[in-house]
This record gives sequence, C-alpha cells and structure tokens, in this order.
Amino acid sequence: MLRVFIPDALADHAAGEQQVELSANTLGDLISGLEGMFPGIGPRITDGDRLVSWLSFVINGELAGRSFLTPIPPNSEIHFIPAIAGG
Amino acid sequence: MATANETKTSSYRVIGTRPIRHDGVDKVTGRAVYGNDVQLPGLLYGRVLRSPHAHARIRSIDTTKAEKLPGVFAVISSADIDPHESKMAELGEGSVNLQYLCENVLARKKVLYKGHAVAAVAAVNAHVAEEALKLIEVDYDPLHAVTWVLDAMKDDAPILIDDLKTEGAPLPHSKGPTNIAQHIVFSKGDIEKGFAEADVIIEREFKSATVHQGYIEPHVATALWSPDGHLSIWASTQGSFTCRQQTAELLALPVSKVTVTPCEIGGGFGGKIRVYIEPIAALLSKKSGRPVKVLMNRADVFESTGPTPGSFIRVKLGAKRDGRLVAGDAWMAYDAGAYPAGIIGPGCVCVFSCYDLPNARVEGFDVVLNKPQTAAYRAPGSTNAAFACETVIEELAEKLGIDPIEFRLKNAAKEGTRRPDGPAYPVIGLVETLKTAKAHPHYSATLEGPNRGRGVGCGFWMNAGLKSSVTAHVNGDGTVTLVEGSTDIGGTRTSIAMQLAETLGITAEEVVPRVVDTDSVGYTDVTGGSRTTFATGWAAHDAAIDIVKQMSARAAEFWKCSPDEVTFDRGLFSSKSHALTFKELAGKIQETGGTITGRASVEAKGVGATFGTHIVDVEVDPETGKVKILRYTAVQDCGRVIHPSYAEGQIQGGVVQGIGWALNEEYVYDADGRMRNASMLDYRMPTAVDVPTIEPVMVEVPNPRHPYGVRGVGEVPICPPPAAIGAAIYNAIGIRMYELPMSPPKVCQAIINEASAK
Amino acid sequence: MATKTPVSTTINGEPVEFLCEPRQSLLEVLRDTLHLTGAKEGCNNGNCGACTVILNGVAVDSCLVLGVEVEGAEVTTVEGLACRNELHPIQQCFLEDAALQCGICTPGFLVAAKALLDKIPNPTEEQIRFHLAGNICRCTGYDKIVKAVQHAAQEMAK
Repeated sequence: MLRVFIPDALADHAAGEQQVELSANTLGDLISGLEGMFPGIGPRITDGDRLVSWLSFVINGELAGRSFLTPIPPNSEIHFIPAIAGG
Repeated sequence: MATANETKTSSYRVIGTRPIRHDGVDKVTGRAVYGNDVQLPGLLYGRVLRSPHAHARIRSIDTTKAEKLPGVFAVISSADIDPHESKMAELGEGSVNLQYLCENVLARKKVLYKGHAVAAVAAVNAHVAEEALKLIEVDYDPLHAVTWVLDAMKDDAPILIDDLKTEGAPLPHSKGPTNIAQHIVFSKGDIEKGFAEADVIIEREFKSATVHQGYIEPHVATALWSPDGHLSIWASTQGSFTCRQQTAELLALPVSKVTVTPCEIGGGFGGKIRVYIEPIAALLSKKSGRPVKVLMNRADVFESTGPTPGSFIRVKLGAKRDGRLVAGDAWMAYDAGAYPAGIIGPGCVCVFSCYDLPNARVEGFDVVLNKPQTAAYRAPGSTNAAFACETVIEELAEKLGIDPIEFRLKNAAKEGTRRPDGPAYPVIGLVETLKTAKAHPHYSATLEGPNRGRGVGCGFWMNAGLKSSVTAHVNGDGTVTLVEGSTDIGGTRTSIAMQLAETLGITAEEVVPRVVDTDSVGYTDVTGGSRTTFATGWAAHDAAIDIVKQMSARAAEFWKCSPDEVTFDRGLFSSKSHALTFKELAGKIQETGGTITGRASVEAKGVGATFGTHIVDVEVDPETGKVKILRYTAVQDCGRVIHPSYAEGQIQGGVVQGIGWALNEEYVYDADGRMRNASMLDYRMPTAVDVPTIEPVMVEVPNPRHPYGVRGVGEVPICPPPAAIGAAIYNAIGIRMYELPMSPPKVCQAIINEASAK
Repeated sequence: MATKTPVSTTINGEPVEFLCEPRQSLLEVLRDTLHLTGAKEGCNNGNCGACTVILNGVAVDSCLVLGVEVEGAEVTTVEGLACRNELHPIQQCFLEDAALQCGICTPGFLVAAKALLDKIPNPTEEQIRFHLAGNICRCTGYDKIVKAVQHAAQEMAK
C-alpha cells in the first residue's frame, strides 16, 4: 500500500483529503488510482503520458521521473512537490 | 586549511587527499580549449541583433541590406526556424517548453525584453558581422513594459503572453489574460492554530533585485552543419546531452544527427543549461555552408541570459516564549522573466527548510515580466528565501532574548523532520553545522570598535541525483582511462577519478579522465544541482566494481580457481598463496582475453541535502553606507569530502557570490524597462579587495546512501550570506535591512530614514 | 574592408610580424591571427582582466590595446610564462594550491601576478589583492589565488 499525500494545489479535486492509501506499481497506475478516487484529478496532473511539468514526483523523499512508467516500490510514501529548477 | 574532520578519512587512501587536478597544466598554460578557442577551417563569425525595447511588437524585419554587405555569408531571423507548439521537453533537472524556448532563441511576433534576439549574421569576421547587424531594419511597435514583480501581477499590467494560463493551484479571482505562470500552495498542520499559540509573532516584507550568475566566459557556440545532414556543435555548456536535446528538438532533428562536444567552460552556476545561441549557430552554418562561431558580448550576457529572479517575499513566523517555533507563513512572488521559469518552486521548498515547523503554509507565484527569462543560479530560489526567513528568525531570537544560534538549534530540522512541502529528511547535518559554528573561535571572538557587528545565517539546498554514465578502460601499464560526460567546471574530473582510484586501489594520478562528446559516452545529465561528484562519482565507483569483477575472473584463470575464491582489497588481488597487484594483473590482461572495460550508468538515488551556517563580522561606514566584510567563517556539512581543496573552493566562491548579492549586485532598470548597467564595471561583482579570506569549515556528516558518503557541496554556500550580513549590519548600526542589495545608497538611505524618524 | 598595417613586435621573447586592421585589438590579433588563445575574452572593455598581458613590463588588458600599438614592443602572454616544459613558479603554485576552478580567468591572474612579482618580489596580502583587483574571478572567492601568489613569491625567493 502506498501512502499518498495530496498536494494543496489539488485539494479542490480531492474532497479535502490530505492523504490517501492505494496500491500502484508505476506512476501511471497511481494516477489512474487517484482518478478512480477523485474523478477529474487525473487530467489536472497529466500531460500526455507524463506528470505535468509544474509538479515533481517524489518517492520516499527522493525525486523520481515524470514518466507514467516510473516504477514505485511497495509501501512507499508519495509526494507531489513544486517542480525544481536546477543550478 | 585543514578540514574539521580530515583525519577521519584516513581509512581511505585517495579520498580526502589533495592531488593536482588532471586538467590543471592545460589550464595554467593557456592550452585548454574553451568554447571561444575552437578554430575550424573556413570559420565564420556570428553575431546576434537584439531588441532595444523591453516590450514591442515586431511589425517587420528587413535583412536585404545586410545580406548585400561584402563578407556576409548568411542572415537569419525567426522566419528561418519553424515554430513549435507548446510542448514540454525534459532536461533531467527541470524541463523546458519548446514554444517558449524557440521564441526566446529568436523572437517571433513580439520582443519581451531588451536584448531579446531578433536576427543573426554570419560573416568573415566579427567586425563585418557587427556592421551587418546595423543594416538590418526592424520595425517595432513599442508596448508598455513591466519589470517589478508585484506590478506585473496587477489586473491592469501589460500582458506579455496573450494565451498564458496559470498552472498549479487555482487562483480564486483569475479572469482573462495574466502574467502569473504558476501558483504554488502547500501547507502542513494548521497555521491559524499555530499562530494562536504563539507568544511572539513577527511578519516582514523583503525585496531582492535581479542578479546574474556572472560567469567570466560569455556564451559561445560553434556549429558545423554538414551536407550529410549531421550537425556538430562545440559548446560552452553545463550539459552536452541537454544541449543536444534542446537543439535537436528546436531544429526538428533526431538526437543522433547532433553531436555536442563540451568544451572547457568558463563558469556556469546554472546559467549555461538552456540553449541561446547553439541553434542560431546551427542555422547560420546550414545557410552559409560553413562552420560558424557565435559569441555573445558582455552586454548580451547580462541582457539576454540567465539572471536569477528578483523577488518580493512576506514571511511571518510565530514562536513560544521558550523559543519553540509554532507556525510559519510565507507569500512569495518571483520573476519568471519573459517566459515561465519556475525558480519559484525551489524557492517555496527552501523558505522554511531549515526549521521544524509544526504548522506552515507557503504560497508562491512565478510571474512573467519584461526581463530575460530567469535561470538557475546556485541553489536557485533559495538565497532570496533564506534572506527573508533568516532575518525574521534573527528578529524573533532578539525579541525572545535567545542567542541566535541557540534559537536555531531549538528549531533545527533533523532526520525525520517533515518540510512543509511534505517529504521527511533522511540523515542531515544542520545541527552539526550550528554546533560547530557556536564552538568556533570566531563566534566568541571579541569584536570591538564603532559600527561593527556580527551576524549569523543558515542555508539549505536539496541537491540532485539524476543520470550519469562512465566507461573505464584498463591500460596495460596499470592506469585506467575514465571516459565521462560531465562538463568539468571546478575540478570534477579529479573528484570523480579519485572515487574510481579509491575503489581500484590505485592513485588519482593513475586515472586518466576524459570528458567526451555526446557520441562517445552514455547519457549524462547536466553539471548542476551539486550532483557531479555525487552521481558521476557514483558511476565511477560502480564502473570500478565492474572492473574488479572482470579482473578477478582473469586472476582466477591464472590461478586455476573459481572467481569467488579471488579477493580484492586496496589494489591487491589474492587467493590462497597467490597475489597480484592491480598493476601486475593489468599487464597480463591482453594475454588472457583482451581489454577490460568497466561500465556504469546510474540514475542516482539517495541524494543528501546540504546545510550551512555562516558567521560574519562587518563594519558599516555611516557616512557612505558602505559595508566592509571584516571576517567570514562558513561552516558547512559537506558529507564525505573527496578533494578538500576543491570543496573549500566551492564554499569560498559561493560565499563571495553571496556577498556580491548581499551588498552590490543588481540589475538597474529605467522607466522603460531597459537595464542600465549591463557591464562588469557597473554591475559590481566582488573583486579581490572587496573580500577577506573566507574561512571554510567543513563538517562531514557522510551521506549513508552514497558509496563514499558524498553530498553535493557547491550550491548551499551562496544562501546564508545576505541574511548573515543583514544581521551583522543590524548589530553594527541598529538598522534592519529588508531589501537586497544592501548597497551603499540603500544603507545610507536607511540611516537617514532612521535618524529622521527619531 | 579596411586595409591592413604590418606590425613587427616581440611576443614571449620571439620576433613576430603580423598584418592587422587598425580596428583590431591586440586581444583579437593574439587569438585570431596568432592563435595564442591563452588570453581570454570576458568583456572586451577592460573590466574583467581575463585578457591581461604584459606590455613593456606593465600588465594591461589586451582588449584595450590596438594591434597596431605593439609595433616595436615586448609582449608576454600566458603562453610565455613556462620555460620550455618547466612551469613558472606562479603556475606551479596555482596548481598545488587549487587556485583555479573553471580556469577562464586563470591566464589573466597568472600574468597579472607575474607583473606584480616582477615589480614587488615579496608583496603583502593587501598589495596582492590591490594589484589583482582588475581581474575578476567568479569561482574561487580569491583566497586560494592570493595564497598561491604568496606561495609563488616564497618559491621565487629561494
């Protein structure tokens, strides 16, 4: 089971939920799962087959890729944080 | 200068020592080939025509006269590059919208800042190219410009991009066109409840001017578009592969048709990731049939590349009487520049990142306005944020009567602390830097004399992992050639080679590192995010392990045993009574199956964040407002230090950039949105007489997730200086500064205001 | 196109003749005509010092000198510091003391430091900082450069 933190930017889509639990093996699965719980949230955070560029995908505190294929280890903690520009 | 914990690294033979860098002799003899040193037969010189207006519609561009000038071989404008739809391309660390990138490279219908590229010329020499630029006729329809972030957010502000949509959190009152490219909100706990519990609450507003990375080498690129359709580029870039990808996308080429050779680079600091002139050089080469080198002049660099955002920040913090922080609220508006840029993202993440705040809310805005599109600059977004947060922390400590370091220690983030954006920290070293700073003789030294004061400040940067590839070939003489794709900006050939050497039990000098082009090594992300020693070093470690495995198998063949029976320790292969050194075995590999090549491609996880705590003494001249730095000590958790000299150098250099940001550097704009100080004389970066010795104190809290404990080092030292210097100014003259730079005119004005208020 | 003037000069101890247009700077001649690319262009208006050369014993920004002005002069560039394959002590100390990061300003600093040590063999830290104030380094924060020059002064006194 993944522990998924819903970012405030999506609060209006998530009926005020701040955290949910669901199962997923990839980012694509995870977004489908969220869409199942909160219809409309998927398109908000999807750009083609990727997570939108203004969010970064964070698994267990670690930045991960935006591709739907990005694997997620079991029992991970998931955050979506503001995208990072680098130096 | 010894590191605080240098002796602890004694179990290593190479890591923690100070070998001479491999590219050193080339760089002290003038032989190293930087971007502008590239020479090709038939080379033409390219120059770019730039907008004199901060905001204007382009009615027409007529290049006829320029094309007729003898010595001119090609003239291009946006008509020579196909437009792109709004589509994101990933650049590893960050991503880029191809439509905006394309329009930034050559303006299409509008110019959005003074210096925006409009057309370009390739000619027999630079003088002819510059003459030709004067013959290009551009008809502009000037528009109102906006260069202050809060003005650009107003309903009646001039709109730069008609179809811009705000990404991120919804804006409650948004209607019609906007300059707000992104709206960020995140929170933790309940800030109303938190502030209700607070005994002391302080809220302040902060402004920071736009500043530039200030690398000494201007952007330069040479392109050769061959008749077979292959494009070769010699570039001054932090990332050859991201340069290749951006150029290929813009010119609609497959990446395999573009080869980027990373030249030696004269500084980057985040500003040499996005492409500006590489596609222009390519198009000029295609049109002329000759190789073309495009070089920016210094005004071009200031006016059309990478500044980092000016900003407005409001920070409110509340604490209990016992010194525990209970709530924090930040509202932050950052310049995007002409196109969305997103430096606000890390700004928001960093603003409260040093503290364990049970209740916090952060709101941020990325705001388009008539300045060059902003770019990363050493811990992008974090320095503006640290100036705001740390200054309020200082005021709280003063009001509560608690020593500023003690107050920070009571609230410092540590392993398990959740940042307001959510993630919990792994092992970090902020507390160690605070304790080391408190115990440092500088903190307790007497500071006498009028108008002198001491200040402290903290800073944070998250660092990056990303992708790196290396190959390593074992030579018959026991050396190893290390092939890598990371641009070496500050000695990373050596810090990477040292990790390979440590793993193989050879010396740093026995590694021959080579930074090669995009066809000669696997994909490697930019040298940025303090990631190169961390991630490419990790790849070098893994390639060395690969070599050890293969060489153990060869040794097993000699010794007629199983490879499992061969052990390897510090450069010695052994099994029962047999033993061969790495060098001895390397001499035999050609007879036993041929060359051994180790390989590794990593997507490095386990990034270790970095913190710093700085102490500074200043003296303020009350007549002129000039602030002199008397003494500076920068304590930083560096993780395991690989090459102490170059780690120290990162700290010292970052601090001096931070001092420049704090005291002098700023883009000065006139009412029409034109930068008025686009030269190194008028944009005042620190010189050798402006700063004392910066004493680096390296605390080593190894990153448990890296094979050698490496964290990034390079970025965080720029974050604390403005806040620490602001605190020192307050302790010197009793005046808090809320605006950067704290330059003589501003300090002087503050002194006058204070006097007239009394 | 402008006509070219013949110029005879001495660069790094060797007689050199070249043709140059009146508008060409010494920096441009060194880099583009003579292929001595050690002097770097950082600003082309005398603010950064990356193009520093020694002209008749004085450190100058070669971007502010015209090519035609060096007729009969003696010019030393970074390429002239090492004696055959032996580095000059200033070069050696910059290497040992890690006084460079990206290295683009390094040729200018080396040449400026040589001009200083030729004049003042044992300078104070203040004198070093003052004499190098026309050279900007954005990477190092100057400390290691100053220490390398002090170190070189000691080596040269031996």
